[in-house]
Amino acid sequence: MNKALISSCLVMMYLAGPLHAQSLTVTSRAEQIEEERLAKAATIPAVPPPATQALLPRTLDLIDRLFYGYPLRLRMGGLPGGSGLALGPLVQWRNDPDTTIFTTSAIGSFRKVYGGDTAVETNFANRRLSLILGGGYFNKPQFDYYGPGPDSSKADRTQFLEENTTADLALRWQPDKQRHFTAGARIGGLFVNVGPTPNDRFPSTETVFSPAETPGIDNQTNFLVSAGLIDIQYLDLANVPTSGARGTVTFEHYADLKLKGFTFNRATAQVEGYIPFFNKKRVIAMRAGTALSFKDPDQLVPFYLQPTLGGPQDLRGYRRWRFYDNNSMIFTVEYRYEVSTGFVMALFSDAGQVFSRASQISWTKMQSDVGFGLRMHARDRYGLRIDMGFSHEGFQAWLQVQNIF
Amino acid sequence: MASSAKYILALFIVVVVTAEAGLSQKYFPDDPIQAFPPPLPVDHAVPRDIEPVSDFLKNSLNRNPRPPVPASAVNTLGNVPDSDWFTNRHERRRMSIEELQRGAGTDNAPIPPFVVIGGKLDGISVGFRMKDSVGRKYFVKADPVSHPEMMTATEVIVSKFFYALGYNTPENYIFCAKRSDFRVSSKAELNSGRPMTWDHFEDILRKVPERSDGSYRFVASLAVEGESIGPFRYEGTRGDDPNDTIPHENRRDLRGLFVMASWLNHTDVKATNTLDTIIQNEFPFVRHYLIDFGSALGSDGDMAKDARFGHEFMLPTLSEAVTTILKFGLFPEDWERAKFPHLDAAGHFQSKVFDPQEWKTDYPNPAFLSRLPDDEFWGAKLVMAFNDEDIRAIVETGQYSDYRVTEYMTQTLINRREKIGKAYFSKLLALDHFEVRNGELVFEDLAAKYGFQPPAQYGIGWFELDNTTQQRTPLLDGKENRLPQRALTSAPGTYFSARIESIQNAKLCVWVDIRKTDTGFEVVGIERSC
Repeated sequence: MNKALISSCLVMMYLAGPLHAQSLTVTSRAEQIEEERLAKAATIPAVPPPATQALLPRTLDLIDRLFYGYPLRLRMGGLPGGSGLALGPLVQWRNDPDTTIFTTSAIGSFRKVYGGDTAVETNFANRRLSLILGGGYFNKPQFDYYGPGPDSSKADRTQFLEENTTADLALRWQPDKQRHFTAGARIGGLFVNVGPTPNDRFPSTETVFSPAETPGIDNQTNFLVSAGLIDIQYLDLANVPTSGARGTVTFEHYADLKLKGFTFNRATAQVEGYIPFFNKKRVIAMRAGTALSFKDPDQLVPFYLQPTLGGPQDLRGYRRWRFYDNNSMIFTVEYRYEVSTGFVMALFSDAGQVFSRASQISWTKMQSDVGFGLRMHARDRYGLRIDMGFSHEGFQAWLQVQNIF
Repeated sequence: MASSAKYILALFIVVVVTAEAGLSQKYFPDDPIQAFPPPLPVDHAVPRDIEPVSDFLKNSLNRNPRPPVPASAVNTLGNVPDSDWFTNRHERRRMSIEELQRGAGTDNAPIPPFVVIGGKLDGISVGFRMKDSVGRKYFVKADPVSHPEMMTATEVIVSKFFYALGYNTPENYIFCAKRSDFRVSSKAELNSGRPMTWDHFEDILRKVPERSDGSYRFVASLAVEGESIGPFRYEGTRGDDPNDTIPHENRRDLRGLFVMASWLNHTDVKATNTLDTIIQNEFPFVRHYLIDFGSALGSDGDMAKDARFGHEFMLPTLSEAVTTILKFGLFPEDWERAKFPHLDAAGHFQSKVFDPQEWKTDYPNPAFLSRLPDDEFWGAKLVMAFNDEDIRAIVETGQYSDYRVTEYMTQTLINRREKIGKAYFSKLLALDHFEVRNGELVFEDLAAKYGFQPPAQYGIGWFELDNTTQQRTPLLDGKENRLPQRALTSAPGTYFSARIESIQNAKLCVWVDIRKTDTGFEVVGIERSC
């Protein structure tokens, strides 16, 4: 009854509206329009109120300035994985041509991880060549360690503290406009200190594992690190690729400066491929990667520099840093389908293994997981990734602000 | 419940009484007006800006079609009179090929050497601001390296279409220049307010495709006349402009823009791609511009247009998102299967899965959500005014170096135009161009004219119209197109109505009102809903 009445009423109002709008004194359409204008003109104040911004735009503007705009601003993230939400001040200075950028920052997290870094980047040759001089420090009291090799047990979880100080000089060369090719070189010092975790939730690593199992736990050294990198990519979008391929090879030499017992080489390689279909709204994304350590028989790879598996970037169904050893390999395949602009769902599977010798590589010992995730991005800028991984060791949920690959 | 019913009844009575008391003439002597009266002076306009993210969120979260309110800013024929928003051009009087290609202007092409005066203020394309050798100021944009010619051509082509359709647009010029043609002003600033240097300019050039002769191709948008007071919204009015009395979502020129934007795949129609300026003639007034057309046709500015755009809003509803997630991508939509040409400059532009009525902007536009069939009809009429040669002529202004791209874009626009005509000329009775000639009411059936359907049969009933009470009294002697005897013998100033009805579908009809004048008859009103 009421609905019918309201409808009738609205119809009548609609019919009455245009008729009622006409003043009986108006004799032409032009006059009618002028009358309406004059009526509005009478409501406009002679001194206009200042333009004000609504709360949301003001808030967005403030956030933008706080994180990107001011020379002294906030930095979020950048500590080793698992450090939790981290915030700190950042100071940046640029010369007028923006060819030299100086950045220094300090950061700390609610999990008592803290650090800082400083870098000067100078660009030459129309930004094709970059020289970066930098150094950094972090202190993280709770790195997980479960023992060496693929057979380590989830139940043997321990933790150790790591202090890490670096000083590097790096050179980067990107000769072509689309940055298909990148070559880089780096030389610098690495100073590591590991020790007992102050946390009492898990045993400290040195109380469970011997120096024979975890080389370097009793005695840390300093390294001179020299490295080279070649990266070749033909991707449609650099940060959120949906088609193309990429290959990266890195070679690093770690020279033990103090104890002379931990000199080794590390070669890492990773290839990625993206097969799109249905106008890139579905993508099969694949990755294969390996990290291999080479050393003389009398040398060791310290456990805190061993490749690891487990966590949001590789075996997502396992805890972070679940597996340590001198070598690792990882395979990932993802089926990605776009839900809407900037929202992508993924079904994935990871498989990988750490090993100390090639003979240990075994498909039956390969750790694997499956999972699903939701990713958010804005055009070619990565936003957020939520992944849920399931393995025989349980499930893990990851919230990340970087792409998996 | 009972008291609310009483309240509604009382309101009903008040409305009826008010309506009766307010009755006045339906047509004024100057109807149908062809142009709005000159504007009142705008003395107190305040520059304002619109924050893109909040505009996106606000509109994305309010996507339901609006209640049906008839369009305003129309004359009694349903057409849009000339104003500071819109000027009838190609549809009212066919423009020559030269005029179509000229668009908003061709006399102000940038002349080197150029002085870069600053970085680009907003948007996603690579660009900068510059002055040419005679001091004219331009906003300059360039193509992405992956799609040479795509964005620059789109900007020019689409601006010329919108100009010919009737909107105010900037003058856009494609030009090629070498590094040596530029210098950076010592006063140049980046958007951040920091000084802009030659290195910054080199940064821009690094992101731009370089031609074989070492030059770069740009599109330069001449700064429009007047002082900027910011964009206009697609709903509400400017509080500081006395001439802006019609809520924008009810303006036919903005509602009907939906049809034209769908034709040109201009998915980026939003408030931040508009501009109001204060023009100082005898007195100040506001002119309303559409700007920034780089995300139309197959271009999305810095990349080819996402295949989704034009088919779905960027932000789905929760239920849409959940449904899509649960489908696991196993049931592709038609647009996901659409084929695009292997022509970089064409980007992602197609006609095969284009559905004019289902087409969407990147996010909801209040004026488009308010549109009614007669708004769409008006928009479709303007689109259909472009014949194949017109379309080709404008596409040629994009200066594609590969003739296959020109052919493809032309044919795709022709195909999309046909789909628009078919869709909207069948939603209502597509009769237009009424006039009284030799005692007969004559008109064109646009659906038949453009070959969408065979000529239809119509029944015509004649009425005498009381312009004050707006009552129509049937006249029995009227027969078909022939005016009734009563009309022929009546005094000047008498009104008559013809109700034209489709024989095939009685639901489709048009009311045509005519006025006896000293010299004959003139058509004064058209109503497309019965």
